[in-house]
Amino acid sequence: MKTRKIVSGILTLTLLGASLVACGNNNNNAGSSPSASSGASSSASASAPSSSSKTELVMNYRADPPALDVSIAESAASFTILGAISEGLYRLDKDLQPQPALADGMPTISEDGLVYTIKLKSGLTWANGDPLTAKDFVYSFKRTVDPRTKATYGFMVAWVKGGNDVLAAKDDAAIKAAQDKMGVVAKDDTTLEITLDHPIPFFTAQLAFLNFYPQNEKFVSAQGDKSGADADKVLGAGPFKLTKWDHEQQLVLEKNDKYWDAANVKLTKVTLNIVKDTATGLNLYETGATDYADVKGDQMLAYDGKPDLQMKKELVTGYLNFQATKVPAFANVKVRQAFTMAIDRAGVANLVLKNGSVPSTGFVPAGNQDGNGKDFRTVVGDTEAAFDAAKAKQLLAEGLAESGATLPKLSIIGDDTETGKKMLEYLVSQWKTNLGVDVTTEPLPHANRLDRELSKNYQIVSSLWGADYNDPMTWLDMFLTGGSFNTQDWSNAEYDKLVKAAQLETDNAKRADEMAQAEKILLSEAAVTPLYFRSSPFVINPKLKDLILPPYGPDFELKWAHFEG
Amino acid sequence: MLKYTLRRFIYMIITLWVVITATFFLMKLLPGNPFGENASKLSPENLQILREQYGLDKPVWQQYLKYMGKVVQGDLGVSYQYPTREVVDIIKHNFKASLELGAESLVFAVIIGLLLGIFAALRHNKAGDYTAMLIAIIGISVPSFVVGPLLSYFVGVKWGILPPGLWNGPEHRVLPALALSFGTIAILARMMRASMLDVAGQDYIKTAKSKGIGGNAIVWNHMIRNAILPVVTILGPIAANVVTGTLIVEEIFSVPGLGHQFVQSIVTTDYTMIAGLAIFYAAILIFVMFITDIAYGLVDPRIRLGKGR
Repeated sequence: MKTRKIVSGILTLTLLGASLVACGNNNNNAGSSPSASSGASSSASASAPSSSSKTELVMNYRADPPALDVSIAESAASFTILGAISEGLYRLDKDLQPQPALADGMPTISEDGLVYTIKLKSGLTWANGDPLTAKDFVYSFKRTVDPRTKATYGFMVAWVKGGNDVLAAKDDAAIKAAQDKMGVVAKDDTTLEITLDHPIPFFTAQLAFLNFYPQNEKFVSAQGDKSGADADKVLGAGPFKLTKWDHEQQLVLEKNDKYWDAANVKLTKVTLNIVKDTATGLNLYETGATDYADVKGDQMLAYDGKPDLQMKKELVTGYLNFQATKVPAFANVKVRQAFTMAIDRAGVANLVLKNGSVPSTGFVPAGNQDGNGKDFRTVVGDTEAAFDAAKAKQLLAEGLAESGATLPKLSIIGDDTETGKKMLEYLVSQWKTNLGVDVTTEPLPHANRLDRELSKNYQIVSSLWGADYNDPMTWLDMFLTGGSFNTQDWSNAEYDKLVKAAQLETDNAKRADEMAQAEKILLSEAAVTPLYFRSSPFVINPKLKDLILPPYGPDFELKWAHFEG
Repeated sequence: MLKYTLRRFIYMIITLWVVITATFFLMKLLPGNPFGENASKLSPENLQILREQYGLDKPVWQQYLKYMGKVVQGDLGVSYQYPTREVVDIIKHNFKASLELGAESLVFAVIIGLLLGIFAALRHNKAGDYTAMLIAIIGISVPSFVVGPLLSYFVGVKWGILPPGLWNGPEHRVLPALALSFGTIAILARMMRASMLDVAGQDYIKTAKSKGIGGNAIVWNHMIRNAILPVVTILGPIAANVVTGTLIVEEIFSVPGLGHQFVQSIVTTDYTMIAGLAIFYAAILIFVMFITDIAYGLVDPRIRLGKGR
């Protein structure tokens, strides 16, 4: 009993003590309210567009980059930050054209389109003062394709001759031997020679892609497994330096004075606050604590007509696949056409997404170059059948009669996000209304949906594809017979012939035409059912200029960003 | 007492082992692969090499033994999602914010909850009681994903009193802690009220009253002190619950905590992270329960002597 009294006494005292401390805290909080509010307003005034000399940018950013390592980077978040703190041979300008960056000029390309000779600017240095030479590219490419690096984008650097042999090498000796034969050589400190496996007409632009950036061997080796894990484990040669990286909270970039083009970098500091909730992001924007925030569909209304609201067009297509082996009726072209034509794609954009996305007119999204200097979509025009409920119904009846197959109980799988679920509901209602067909929805977590899709364990899937590079081939080679993304089991010999020919074609005009023909076949057969070309809206301080938002790869390009007025 | 403590400790270790084992095998049932979307762009040979490097090509029991061996040494492996970071480091880093947020919300909850409960009990069946309990019911039934955005918008944007989000200075701590404490305030208030009413009916209170002890002295010396004990016993699990992070409040106020990390690790099939966090959460809860058991044993000898002797 005595012990009980003592313990309960102590506990009471502790609680009271805690309460007192808490009261203290509370008082502090109450006491600091003015300073708190002034804190909020001071941060607001710090980033508010007050004077013309503002050189510090504060942005919301939706994700913490997984790893800031050139070889391992695979997400837009990593690409974005690495793009700011490092640089490749070329950098894409606002028209997506490659401009010489670390390279001194455009490459000299051999007649067969295989050998690229590139001269580097002289006197280049890394942010730590080390000289940057052609060897840093050789090291970088070889490290990326080394299977021990576990780089998922290694396949892209493996376009360089011999790259695939390195990727497939089994042991250390085999890796070394294959690396030695790889088609990337430093002729001298400022001359790099890259030999490709096959001609790639857009390779110069591709050299601006993150995984082709140089790496400082001495620095990267010293980091071991931790390369790119923290601010002090990242080294670049770009416009900014990463000076602080508080994971899941904040990244701070400061101007790199050793950058070759430092004179054209106007911002002295960029703070990226990790904000995952768009409503909170907008609240921060409203209080002036940030100059940039992402917006979702319904949140756009409040900014309608204001200069703050802008739209980022992406190279992303939302589409459906119909699995022909699991549902034999889908092997019939008319049945697929019927399901495609029964969907009013304007509704997808205006009722479901409401974020500036536009109804698709083909599979390759608008804005994607054709490898011949033109916009693929503009050149090829509409290849997808327009919405026509009556014709869809007729085609379905014809298709089913032709194939002798019947429709089983159908279900459609898709992502279980808010938009993903809305999309499935919309599609199901369209098929019910326009075709009289019942389809059930099966929203799944992203990894689960992807797994079911890639293992062909579905009847209809609602999917998304984003460009890895700015060329129609990133879209069209998906549906080659037996391809890993050809999960609908569609096959067309003529299509295969055209795409494979385009992969080896050196005449850009002819190649663009082959790809155009291929897409026409793809869509005329309704092998895939594109729904929309994605856009993402955002609000931005109207005084912030030249923040480039590329449609693929990084989320934004900070080099030229500056405040005006 | 030593024997009792030892026995509880062994139970704790066994529970932890069961949790680790169950998590490991359940995780293997998750669909998808941990190499993310881009893995589908790799050739089957390259994917196989990746699997070999992560040891995923080995039979599951071998993977399990290897994993257990590492866990015993405090190594939870490298995250698949953040390939350059150790799971232990990520947990350490993110737990800081969750712990701080949880502790602050607990302080709010204890003060407001207990005061509300005491007030209600002293005004039993009067307007004050109904009002306090109405507040408590609202606290329980309005979820944090409603309270959070409202606080962020009104206090943060409309009135401009506190920042609507981020996790920088002390002023950024208040709103998320408040949002997180709402439910706990309600639980503690109801619990404290019931406990106070229970104590009020006890004979010793009547005795004290008959001795002519004043109202305030009875409330402070007898009622609150005795009524608080059952409330204290539930504080352990509540504390474990709030400090391990909450996805919703952390997302709404951009708090760099563990809650988001947990959901993200499941979405991306980040095996090592899922297992690491499950073990970490379980360890905290089991440890709190261990401490509670020991405290019980100290307070009431019948508990430690009763069973198992």
